Amino acid sequence: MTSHNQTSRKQIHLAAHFPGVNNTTIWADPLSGSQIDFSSFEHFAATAERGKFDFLFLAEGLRVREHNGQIHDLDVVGRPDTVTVLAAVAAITEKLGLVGTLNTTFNEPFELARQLASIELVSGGRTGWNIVTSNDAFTGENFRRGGFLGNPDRYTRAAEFVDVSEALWADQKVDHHGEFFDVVGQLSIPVSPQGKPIILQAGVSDEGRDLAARYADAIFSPFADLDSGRTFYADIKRRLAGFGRGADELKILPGATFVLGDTEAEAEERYQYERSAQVSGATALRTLEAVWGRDLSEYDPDGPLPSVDLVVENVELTAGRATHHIDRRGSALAWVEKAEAEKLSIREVAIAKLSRGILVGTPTQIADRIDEFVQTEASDGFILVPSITPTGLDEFVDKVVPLLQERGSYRTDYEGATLRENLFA
Amino acid sequence: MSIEIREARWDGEEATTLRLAMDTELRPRYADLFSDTTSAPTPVDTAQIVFTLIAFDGDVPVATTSLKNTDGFFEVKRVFVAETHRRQKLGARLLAAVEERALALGITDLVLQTGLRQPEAIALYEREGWVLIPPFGPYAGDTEISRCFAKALVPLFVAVELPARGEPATLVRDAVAAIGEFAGAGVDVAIIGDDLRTAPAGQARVDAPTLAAFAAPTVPGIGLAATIATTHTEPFHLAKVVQTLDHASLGRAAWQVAISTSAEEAAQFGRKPAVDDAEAWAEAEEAIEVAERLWDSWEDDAEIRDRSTGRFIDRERVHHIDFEGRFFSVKGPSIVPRSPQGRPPIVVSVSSAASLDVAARRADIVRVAPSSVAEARAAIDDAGRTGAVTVLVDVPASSAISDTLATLRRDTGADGAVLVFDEIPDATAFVTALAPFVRRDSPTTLRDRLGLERPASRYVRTLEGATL
Repeated sequence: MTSHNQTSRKQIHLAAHFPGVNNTTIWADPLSGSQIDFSSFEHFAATAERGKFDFLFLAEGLRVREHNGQIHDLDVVGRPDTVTVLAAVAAITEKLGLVGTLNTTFNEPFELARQLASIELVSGGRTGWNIVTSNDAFTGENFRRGGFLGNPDRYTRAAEFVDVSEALWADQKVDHHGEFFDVVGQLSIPVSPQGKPIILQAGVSDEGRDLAARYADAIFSPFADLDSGRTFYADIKRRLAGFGRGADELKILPGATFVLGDTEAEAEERYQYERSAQVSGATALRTLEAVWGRDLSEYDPDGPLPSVDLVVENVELTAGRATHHIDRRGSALAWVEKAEAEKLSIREVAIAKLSRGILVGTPTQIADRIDEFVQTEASDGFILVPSITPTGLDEFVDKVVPLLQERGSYRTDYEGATLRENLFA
Repeated sequence: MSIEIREARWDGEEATTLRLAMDTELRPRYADLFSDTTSAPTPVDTAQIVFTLIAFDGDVPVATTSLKNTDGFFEVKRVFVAETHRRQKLGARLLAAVEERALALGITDLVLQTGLRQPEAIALYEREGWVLIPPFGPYAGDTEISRCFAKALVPLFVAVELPARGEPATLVRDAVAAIGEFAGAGVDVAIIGDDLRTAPAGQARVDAPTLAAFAAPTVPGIGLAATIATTHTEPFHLAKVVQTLDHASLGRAAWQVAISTSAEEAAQFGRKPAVDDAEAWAEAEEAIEVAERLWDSWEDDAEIRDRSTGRFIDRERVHHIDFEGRFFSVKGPSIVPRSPQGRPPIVVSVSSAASLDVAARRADIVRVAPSSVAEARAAIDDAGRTGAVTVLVDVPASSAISDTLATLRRDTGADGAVLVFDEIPDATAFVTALAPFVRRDSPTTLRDRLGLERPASRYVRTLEGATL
């Protein structure tokens, strides 16, 4: 255990999300490096470990995104296999946790539990699993058993998947016969120093929250503003008691981007640059097409929005990512009204709708903001997503981490050797 | 001194005279062991002589040696330097000339026999990189007088296979240390075995590709082949695992294709009953096809980062594979961009007729028993394969490994060997034994080691009328 000069302060937990295959990642910047070369993962992990982050976080998508029947080409495309790259990163890090997103719909419990137990073994107990479920037939086309589970089914299946995995991680003979799985066997991999991998969950639906309260050690939360963060935090902590768990047994970590500047003005300028770089004219039109449900490639991104009358209901142009539009006409109307009220072009309104830069400011301002979130129970820390691969985290670690350490809210060294020891220190 | 080495007749006057001098000099050393009638060397059938070399000092013949084909052993015979010309490295020059000429004739391995009372000759061979081996061919059994040596003129392809199994507390450390030692010893590829079944009491297992990926960043040089069985997994998953191992190892990955036919493994997944060998290999072959298509699904130059149009990739160069087979249907493309080797090599260990068929059609490295190389090569020819297919024989990893390797190509017809370890070994013992047979350079990728070109994606479309 480290000594803190202000032991009463709640400790901040930080994680580093390797920039993903979405428009947050700015690939056109001159500093932008490879999204796939191992050296990028090496650099990113080394920075996170230097900054004493709890863990490295990897997202996953098992089918390349498409738009209107064609492969989406405007954002970063391509990433490694989660388990394999985490095993390689384990070899070049010592204390950093290694958390991967892995899908319960397109995997089998024996195989996935074995892979996770294997990274546990090679990393000495630093692994975490962000559990995602999918009912997505689009992704299912890459797998022989497809993916056609209804919403309630996929949470039941995920729960059974985790139950079987936990039994296997105890390295005992498992003889499971359930609704979704029949698994008889033993992993022959020793119980890890942290007992079992850390479990993360990202769902915010009612079932998703219960699944998290029952199984998860941490939640990757979308609530990155103070008010909704506090409401979510209170709700989850309340649910924990229903599963016989203590309030400290689950960490809530919102995902957040950040933009740093030496002065407030510089940060704001950088923020405007990033928003503009994240939403090119082509990306703005694609985004609009997803809402309108039709091809809009003839429109000028710097011109006015198309009429709401052109919206085609019940057409899903975007495939392979989580966000879907339910009330298409209502969404389109909101966009048009915003554009008319603020005199915005297609691209300007898309920038306004797509960009979330909740941590913008000087290092001191960002440190203040993060600390405020944690000390006022809006979160237990953050999962930070830089916009530049792989160097986007460097500045944060060099400039913000020391400020958090100075105020006694953040570790100066790892408390333990396992992810569990550090996450719950 | 100006020495010139020229080819000559075995039974010409110069060579005969020099060999007579050699007999005269050596006979007394062995007089107590042989009666006068048997002390002369066995007469040589001149039809077996590949070539004879003579070193001339001006017009004077001063040294000789010959190469003889003795039942498939290419044997260096009768190395002799006249007393007047010793201590001038003439022996070494002659041996170098033999090696150069043999290589030009396509000969890859040399052997020779000398006697225990010729310490100066033994010292020469050891200095020149020859390896002591048990008496071969005509000298077999004569361990009293014969001292036999071998030299590989072309390196063997040397693989090791280690189980991903061992002491729970030290398995990972021991495995990475062993792979590191073998890498240092010049071994071409470490094959990580895998087995989903419960480990023997007191032992633990680890997932093979995970262990290989963990070794990749810290162990340079050596190829890393992970065993993945196709019977109970999805080809989409295993394809991206192997591609990612290839990215993390900077082009040193391979996939050893395996099957699972036990009821125990079927019960772990609970999806289908155990299948027999032929059915499992049929499915494995389809999985290989899916994996290779996925590996090609991104063309090498798909990532364009074109700022003017805002496009990160050229989607015309990222392809659906649209595979529909008996066992799988897979849409693609892979989520992983094309890896350093494009298509990481495929390893198949032959254990049945069905696995031989798949190996012959699909494998870059075919593993067979020492007696089955000819059968494997015939199957590879029948499959109409173009490009190099490396045939390796499984040999037990024992302290006599250099004896096995010294005559491996002649004895088996294989391109190299897989040293099969039942346990993770202390590899330091093998470093010296392997040194004479492994390559000295360190190619970047495993395909380079196998002499395989980096393949273009099968989906590359050439413009009509375009010229290259």
